[in-house]
Amino acid sequence: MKLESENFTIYEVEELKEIFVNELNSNENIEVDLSNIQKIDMPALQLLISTKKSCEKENKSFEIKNINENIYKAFQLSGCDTVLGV
Amino acid sequence: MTEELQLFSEDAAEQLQFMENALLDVAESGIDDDKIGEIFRAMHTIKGTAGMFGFDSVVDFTHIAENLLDEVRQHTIETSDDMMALFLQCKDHCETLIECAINDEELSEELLENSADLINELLKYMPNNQTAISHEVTSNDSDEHLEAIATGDNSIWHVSIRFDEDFFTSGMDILSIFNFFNKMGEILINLPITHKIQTLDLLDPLKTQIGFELEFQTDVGHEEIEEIFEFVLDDVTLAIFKHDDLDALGQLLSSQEDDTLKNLFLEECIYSHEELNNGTVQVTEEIKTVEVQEENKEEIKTVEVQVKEAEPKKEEVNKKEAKKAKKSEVQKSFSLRVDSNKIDHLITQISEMVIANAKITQIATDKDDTDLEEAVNVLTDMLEDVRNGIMNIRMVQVEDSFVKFRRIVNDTARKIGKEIDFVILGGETELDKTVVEKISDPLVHMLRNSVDHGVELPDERVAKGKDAKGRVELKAFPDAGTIVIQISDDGAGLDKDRLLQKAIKNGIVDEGANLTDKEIYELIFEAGLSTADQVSDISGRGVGMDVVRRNIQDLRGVIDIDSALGKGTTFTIRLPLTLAIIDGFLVQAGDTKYVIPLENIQECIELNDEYKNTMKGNEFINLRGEILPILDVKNYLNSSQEENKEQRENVVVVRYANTVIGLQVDELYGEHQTVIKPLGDIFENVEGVSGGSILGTGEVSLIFDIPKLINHRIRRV
Repeated sequence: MKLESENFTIYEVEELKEIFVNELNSNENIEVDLSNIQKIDMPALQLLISTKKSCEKENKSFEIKNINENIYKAFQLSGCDTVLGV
Repeated sequence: MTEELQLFSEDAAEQLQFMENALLDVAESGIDDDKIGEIFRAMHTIKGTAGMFGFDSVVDFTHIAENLLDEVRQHTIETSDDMMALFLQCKDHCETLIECAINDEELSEELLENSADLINELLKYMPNNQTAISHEVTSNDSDEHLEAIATGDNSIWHVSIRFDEDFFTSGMDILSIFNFFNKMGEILINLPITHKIQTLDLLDPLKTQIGFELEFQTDVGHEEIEEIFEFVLDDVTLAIFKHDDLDALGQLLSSQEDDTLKNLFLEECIYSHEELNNGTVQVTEEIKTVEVQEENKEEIKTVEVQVKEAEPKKEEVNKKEAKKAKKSEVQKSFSLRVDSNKIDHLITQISEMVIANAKITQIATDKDDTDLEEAVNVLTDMLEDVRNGIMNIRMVQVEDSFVKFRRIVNDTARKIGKEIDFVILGGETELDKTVVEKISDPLVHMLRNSVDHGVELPDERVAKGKDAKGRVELKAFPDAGTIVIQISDDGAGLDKDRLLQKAIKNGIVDEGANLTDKEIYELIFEAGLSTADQVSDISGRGVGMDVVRRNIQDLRGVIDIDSALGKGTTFTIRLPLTLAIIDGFLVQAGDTKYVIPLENIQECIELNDEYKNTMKGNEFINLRGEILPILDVKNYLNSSQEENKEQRENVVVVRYANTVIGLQVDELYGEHQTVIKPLGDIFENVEGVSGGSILGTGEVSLIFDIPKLINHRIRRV
């Protein structure tokens, strides 16, 4: 699943949560492609962690791909890189 | 603007003001450590809070200025006047940067250039500077970090952060907070606490469920770390302690519902088993000491001494911190930011209550019900207390707004090459906040005038035998229910002849008109009259003084000029204490009731035959040897002239500033608390009446504007 918008922030999380839920219901494995994302914040990271938790609960795999440098910095800064396995 | 941003904006403005005051003090009375400390702290606070909001432009700039200040503070760099002037520029620049940041504006080319210039100037003072701010994000070689933690590096703090569930929507960016941590030091380990995060089906993505445990390496102390959260302290649960403070760790763990956190610390090797099971680690240390003791007895002695020395220090520190905590607690309970609208609302309500109370008093009197009267009296007293209390909330010391003028005076003086000693007196005088705000602009204008064409140039002054340094004084003091603000200078004084000539030339005054000194001085309030021969960018255009006078009149104040050629000029502004409610004295003349502000009343006398005889048809009486001009209120305001129906005639002697007149009225009713209600436009041109008031009976009474009445009476003479 590739996120289309440039921002993945508090303004997008509600909408994306619904998308993630649907994705989880219809797929065996979740792959989140962040290649378009230029900006990320804590609510977004929390949503990703929640998604990962849901996958683990349902024994599905979860992967985040194509993280650009800036976004990766945000992952590192918050320590979420380890939690999300990126 | 979010609430936090608003707070930031206010706080920054305050800090900038601190900085400016300190800088001006330094410029005036020389550099001392306290002042440098103040400037440093202000700069530091701004950097800190700006960092929280991710205002990098502000942080980068203040960081460099702060570095230099730090060096100055530690006496590694000599200060100079130029450097202080530079800091003043930096302060201004900061202000602009903050403004841009708050309004989310792009920095203009000019601003960026200015930034670069100032930074260059700052760097010139720091030959071996290390100014680069680390923007890098924590590197991931946690092994190294773990090592640092394990070796018991004393500069490592453990910071535990939990957020209120609405934190995300508060507008604060958690990533910015971490970024700022990295500017103050380095986050060695950032451990997200995720067990509270729900799975997708239950998650509300706008609620904050994540938390963090940080291992943070820094040179700064507990307080500074806590300051990072200054604006959001209410919305976070924090635990900040030194990594090796096992008691605090124990407290943190025991505050948890379960062992999740403890297990997590273990898993991530942040704390060892021993550390987590608090206490064991001290035992091992003891064992170590014993071993050492055996090996080298002498060494242990020194160690012991050190320990002994260290202990009282620790106590001291604890005491200090306790003191600080206490202090901040006290401050907290004493200062409260309240929307001024809320207070205005209260004042309106109280005003209405005063009217309602007057009505009850009236009823009690009418019914001759002593019990009710007594009850009403108690109520009246209490109401007055409450009223005074509320009015008091609005009262602020003028000092705060006065000190701002120092900058203006200094700048103006420097610009035109004059030396000015600016003195503020009576800063503790209290005045209604609204009045203070409204009077600020006129004062600025008048101060500029005093500096620009009041005080002469140094050479000129020396030639006149005066001190080369001019003196401008701003003074505030209470007088007869009003607040007086005086601006005086020891400059050239007003040149009456020139003023008059100019006024005649401009057609403001007819040629040959006979004017008193005061009237001539007042010409400077006329639009289009300036005594400065040269128009400068500071003053001399002749616009301004008329606006000044109008502003002051809007506040029900008056302005007065006194001047002596060659010696200086004094402007005296009188302002009413409050704007809404006054203590009045109720009188009647003809059919109408009037309220005279109590503060203006000097005495009441009965106009008996003896006095009437001395009047002999004139409008003066002889009051204990002094001539007292009388204004017959009935004649002045009532057009319909009914003849007296054997009423007692009384004179109320009123004073304003230095003038005393008597108001001739029929009836005296006594003290009366009253609320000023504005009259309709129709009354706009009725001189001497400032408003109306509703009496307990429902009648309308008019409130006298004593200054205007006096003015009117005196002019007639």
